[in-house]
Amino acid sequence: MDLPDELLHEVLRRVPPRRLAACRRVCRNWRDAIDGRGLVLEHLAPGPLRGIFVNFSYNKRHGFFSRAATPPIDGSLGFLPNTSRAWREWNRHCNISDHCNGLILFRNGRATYVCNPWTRRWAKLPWPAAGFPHGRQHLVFDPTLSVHYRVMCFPGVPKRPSPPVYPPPAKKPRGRYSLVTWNSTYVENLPLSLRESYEQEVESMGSMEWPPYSYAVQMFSSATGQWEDRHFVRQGDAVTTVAGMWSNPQLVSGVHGRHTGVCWQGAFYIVRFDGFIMRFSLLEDKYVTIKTPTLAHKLASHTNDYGCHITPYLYLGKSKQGLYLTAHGGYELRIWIMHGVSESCHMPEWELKHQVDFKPSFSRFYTSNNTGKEVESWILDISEEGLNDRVDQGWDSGDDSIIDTEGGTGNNLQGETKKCYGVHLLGYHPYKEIIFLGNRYNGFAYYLGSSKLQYLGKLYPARDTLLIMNSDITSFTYTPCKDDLLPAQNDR
Amino acid sequence: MATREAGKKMIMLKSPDGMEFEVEEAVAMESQTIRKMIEDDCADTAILIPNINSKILSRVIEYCNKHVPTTGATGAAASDTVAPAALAEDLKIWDAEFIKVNRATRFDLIQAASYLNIKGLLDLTSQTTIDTISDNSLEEIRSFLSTKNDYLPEEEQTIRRENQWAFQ
Repeated sequence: MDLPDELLHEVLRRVPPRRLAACRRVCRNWRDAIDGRGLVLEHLAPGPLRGIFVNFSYNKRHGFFSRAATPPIDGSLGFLPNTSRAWREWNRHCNISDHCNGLILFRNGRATYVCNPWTRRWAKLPWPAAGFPHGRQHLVFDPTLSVHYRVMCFPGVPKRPSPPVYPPPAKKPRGRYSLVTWNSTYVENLPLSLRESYEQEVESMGSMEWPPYSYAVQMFSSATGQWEDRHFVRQGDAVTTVAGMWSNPQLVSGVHGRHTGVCWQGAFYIVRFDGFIMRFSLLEDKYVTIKTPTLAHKLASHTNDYGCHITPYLYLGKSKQGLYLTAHGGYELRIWIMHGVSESCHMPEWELKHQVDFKPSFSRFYTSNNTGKEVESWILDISEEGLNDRVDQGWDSGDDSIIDTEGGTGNNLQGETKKCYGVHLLGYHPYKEIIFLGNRYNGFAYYLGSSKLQYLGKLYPARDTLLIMNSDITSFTYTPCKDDLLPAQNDR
Repeated sequence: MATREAGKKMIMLKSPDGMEFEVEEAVAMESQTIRKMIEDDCADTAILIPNINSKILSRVIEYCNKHVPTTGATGAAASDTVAPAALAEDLKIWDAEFIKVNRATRFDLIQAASYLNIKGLLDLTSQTTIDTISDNSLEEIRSFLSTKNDYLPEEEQTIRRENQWAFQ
């Protein structure tokens, strides 16, 4: 006697996801019922916006910035092994390296973890047989497609080979570093035979397409528990050649990508610092390249309040209408929405959604002597144990802290104590057209619809004067994944 | 046939095996499906409940009788003497007794609750099944369902591997 499918579904969808995953082993009928309707996935879908992970100080530490009323999330991920403050200070690589739909990729020395700050569960990735792959690691977790996550390493442009050392050294150099780096005069002065063979080598490497037709990506999949080589085959044309990349005008003009990756509608998108977007299909081993809008009017050259040049960069985020590409430099933002990209069509229409320069509003904010009037509805939590007194003062309501973005000239941000490195983009609200901004001291929300800037609260941790917010690495908006299938042996 | 007795409207429910049950309208309206029929005036004569045999239907009516909100003269008297919390506790114990049935009956009850759209009964019947699924080993679940493990060894291997990250 069996339940009809409808009722089996009714019953199974109330079973907790971990148990449900185990129940796939009962019989084929059940596996099909569970997989066919994506029952486990329902539980893993991202929740509402919970707050922002804010990255601080030389890539060593995160704080969690969120509405005052909500219980804090452990931004320092203290539930992971070896995350004490002393350890962090002595280890070069000890921080969040990526995040995706509520899961976080954390690198700690030689170990790499995938963890969920909501459930405080984690898994340690195995060491790949071929050594740890080079290239930027991305965490890919799309609960609309699969309960499994992947960690993918995307190799960058091959480096220009180093020229031969001349005259040859008496002893072989120790270590893997070459004694010379490329330099045109040095190459010209090489003996002819050496120079020719070197130039040949450079030319053959430089003439390769970029990105390559078959793009080799090292990938860890939680489905197999192993690292493997995957080859993504390019659909459509290459963007350029390797030599083209060596002299890329985007690189020369200094437009960098922030290496953000976004899962959206069955594909994974990354912005390359090379100035284009790669879209990887998660179901087939295919990819396409997408041209970003030409920055016809280059963002004005910005210097920060200390007189250093600020490099503009591209950032890809997900919000109400899909994917939002942002060009950001200093206090200036330019935002496009990407329309019409699919498996078959990869020539998007870029709709310029918004342009804004925050300098006037920020200078008004800091010069209007409004201390005391500011309503702090958000709180930064950076202590390992978490803050206690969190009082809700109602974000979304009260216009008290709205800052006018129009009118006024205000060009001085030279308040002695308020020197900033421009404004940082912390991330997009996942469901509303709001972007979160921060500078060294304060966090803000900016509403694209009404062009209103709202003060949220202090980002400057008073007790810790050494912390400086790190501009462009992994601050991100966080939507919790309220259950997961990570191993439970470390459940608290 | 709708009749009247002691000021309460009565409804006649008929099972496909020919049994007839006379129930108060309020009790019958615990079922959203029947409520809709009554509101649409399709219920002048007896309502035929297809798919549900008399044995199951009588149990369903028993459940609805117990769970119908107590209103009116007698109901008011009852809630005066018994605190609501105690009443709820009482109902819980009654539910636990009610659901002590074999698997076939329980599945029949789930189907009946689903067809008649009685949320409380559906929750009750499916929850016990969920508990069975959640608390027992796979082998026990299989025997509860009297189903067999129909995986080939290699398929079993694959499915184990897929679950590995969750259950190390």
